[in-house]
Amino acid sequence: MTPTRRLRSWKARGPASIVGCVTSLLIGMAVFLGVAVNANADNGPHVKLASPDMIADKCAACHRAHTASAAYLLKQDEKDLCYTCHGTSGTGANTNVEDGVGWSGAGRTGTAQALRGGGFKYALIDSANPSGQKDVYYNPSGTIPVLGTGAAVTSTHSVDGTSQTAWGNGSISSPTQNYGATIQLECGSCHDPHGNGNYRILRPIPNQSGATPGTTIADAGTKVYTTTNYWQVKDTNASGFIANIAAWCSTCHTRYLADSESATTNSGDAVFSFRHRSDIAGQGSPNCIQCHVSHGSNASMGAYSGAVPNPDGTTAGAASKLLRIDNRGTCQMCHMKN
Amino acid sequence: MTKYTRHLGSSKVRKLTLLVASCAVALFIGSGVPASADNGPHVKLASPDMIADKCAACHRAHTAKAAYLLAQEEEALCFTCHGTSGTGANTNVKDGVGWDGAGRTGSSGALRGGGFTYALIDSDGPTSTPAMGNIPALSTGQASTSNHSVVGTTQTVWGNGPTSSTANSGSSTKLECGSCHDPHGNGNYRILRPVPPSGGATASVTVTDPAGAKVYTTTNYWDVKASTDDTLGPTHAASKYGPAYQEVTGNFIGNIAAWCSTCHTRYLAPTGSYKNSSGDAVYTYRHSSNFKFVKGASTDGPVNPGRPNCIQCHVSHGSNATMGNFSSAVTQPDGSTAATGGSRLLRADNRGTCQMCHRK
Repeated sequence: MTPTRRLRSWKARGPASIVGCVTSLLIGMAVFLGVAVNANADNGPHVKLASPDMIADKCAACHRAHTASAAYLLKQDEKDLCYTCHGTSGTGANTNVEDGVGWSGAGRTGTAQALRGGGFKYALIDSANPSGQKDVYYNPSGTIPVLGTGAAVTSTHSVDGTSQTAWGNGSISSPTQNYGATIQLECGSCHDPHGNGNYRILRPIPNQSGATPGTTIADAGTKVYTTTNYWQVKDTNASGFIANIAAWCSTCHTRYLADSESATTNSGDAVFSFRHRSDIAGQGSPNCIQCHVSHGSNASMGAYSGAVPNPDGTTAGAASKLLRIDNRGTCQMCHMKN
Repeated sequence: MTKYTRHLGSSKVRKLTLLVASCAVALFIGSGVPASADNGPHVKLASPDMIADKCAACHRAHTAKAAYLLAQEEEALCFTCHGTSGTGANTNVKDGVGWDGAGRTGSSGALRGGGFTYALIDSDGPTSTPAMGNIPALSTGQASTSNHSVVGTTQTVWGNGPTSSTANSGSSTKLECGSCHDPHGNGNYRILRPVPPSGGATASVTVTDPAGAKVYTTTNYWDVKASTDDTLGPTHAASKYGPAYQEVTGNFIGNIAAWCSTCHTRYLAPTGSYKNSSGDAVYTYRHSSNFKFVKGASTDGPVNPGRPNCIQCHVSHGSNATMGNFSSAVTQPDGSTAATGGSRLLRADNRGTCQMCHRK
C-alpha cells in the first residue's frame, strides 16, 4: 500500500481514529526512543554519545543474547528489523525508507514529504518531468519535482542480504575483466546502527567494500531528510556531503570515480575503460549523487535505456539504475542534445 | 529503606536476633563443624558419622511437614539458617548479605550470588575502561527484580534439552534450593550438584572445591572468578578490546558455564555462534558463553576481567538490576511476556552487561 492510500484510509475513519493513531504513535515513540534520545534517524537510538552509556537500554531494541533469530544476535532479519521503525508500518522513526516518505514531526506527524534518497519499495520522484536543462556541462539550478503519491520503484540498492555484484569494486584491472566483488548488501552495510557521528551514520568503510582508507562525511548541523527538488542534491546543512559523497560511493564502486580526463583517456581497465567524470564537489556538477539516488528510484526506462546491460553483459531488464530521471534525462540536464 | 536495613535498625530485633543466633548456632552447628555454608552442617565427611546428630536439624522421621521428611517446606527450612532472621549461617541468601564472622558477626558484605529478595548490586553504577571493569556493591539492599525460583513451583528451564529444529523453549520443573545445592554435602564448590535434578543432563559437571579460604562476598560484581581461581594461562596481545592480558582460570571459572548448562543446555555457545546458526528453532544465534577464563593482570596493568561466560553477565540467586523500556519489552524465549521489570539475573541495569565489553 502506498503512503497516500494509507493516509486516505485514516481520513475515512474520522477524527477520533486519527487522534487515536497519533496518540499511539506518540506513545510508541516515547516507549521506543526513551526520554533522553534524540528523535532524528541518524541520531535517535543510533546516536553516538560522548562516552558509552554503561547501562544502555537500547541494546535490547535490536539484539538478543541467547534467542537471536538472525546473525549478529539480531532479534530478526536485518531488513525487517530496520523496517520495524523505518518501514511502512513502523512509527519509531519519521523516515519511512520503504516508501520514500519523511515527516517533519516526530512519530510521523506534521507534513509528509519526499525522502532525498528515494525509497526501496516506492519513491516520490517525478522523474518524467524534469526542467531547467542547460547545455553548460554543469547545471546547478535544474528541477526534478516530487510526486504526491508514491510510484513503484524500478531499481534499488539491495538490502536483503542476498549476494550482489558491487559493480566496479576493486582496482584497475587489465587484461583480466573484473566487474566487481560479490557482496551481501544490507542496511548495515552502509549505515552504522550503533552510531558513529557521521552524516546519515554512514560507515567510513562500508562492509565488504575492501576500501582502504575509508571516507568520513561530517554530520549535518540541521538534518533535513526530505526534498522538493530531486536535482538539488547538495545538502546546505552539511558542507562535507557534496565534497565527499562521490569518494564515499567509490569505497564500493571504486572504478566509477573518475576525473576530468576520463572520458577521453583510457583508464586501462578492461571493463571500465572510458568513464564520465564523477568527482566534482558542487551542485549540478558531475558527481555520483547528482545522477543517482541512494535507496531506490521510480524512474522508468525506454527501449534503449532498458536495453543497457550490466557491466558484465548480463541483462539488466528495465532497471533504472537508481537514476533520478526517466531514460537518460540525467544526461540532458547538462548536455541538452537534440 | 530495605528489609536488611530495617533488620539492623531495630534494637529490640537486634537483641532478639542475638538471642536466637546464640541458640541456633549452639544447637545447629555444634562444636566440631566448620561454619562455612558449603561445609557447616552440609560438610562431606571422610566417612559417615554413624551417630550423626545433624539429621535431626532438617528431617523428621514421622512428623515431617514436607516431602522428603523435611521438618518444614524446603525454602523456609533453608532460610532458617540462610534467611533474614536465621543466624545458623553467615550467608543470608535472602537479603544478599554475608558476614566474615560466624554467627553473623564481624564485617558484612555483598554476597557474590546476589539475593532472592534483596540484593546489594550497584547495578546502575558500572564502569568500564580498558583498565578495569567494576560493578560496585551497595551498602543497603534493594528489592530483587529477578531470581531463580526456590519455592518449588513449576518453572520453565529455558533452553533445556538438545538442539531442536522445532520450537522447544525448554522443559518444566520445580526448582528449589536443593535442585542446585546438595544439603548433605558432596565436597563440591558451593555443594553444587554435578547433575541438578530435573535438568536432564546426562553428563555431570563437577565444580571442585579447592583448598583455601571460601570467600562468599564481593566488592566488585564484575570480578566473577573465585578467589581460588588463580591458575595462569596463555598470554594475549593487546587488541581493540584492551591491553595485553594473561588468562586466569581455575575450578570455578573453568567449569561454571558448563554447570549452568546442565539445565540451560542450549545457552552454552562457542565462539562464532553470533553468526553461525545452531539449527535450533528458538536459540538460533547465540552470544558465546563458554569461555573458561577471565582476563588477568598484564605488564600494562590490570585489565577488564570479563570474558563471555554465563556467570559474567548473570548472578546465581537474584539481582536488583532495573530494566528500561527496551529491556523490559524483551519477551521470554517462548514469546510470552516477561515479568514487568524482570532483570533476568543480570548484573547491571538494562543491557549494561553488553556495554561492559562492547561499549557502543
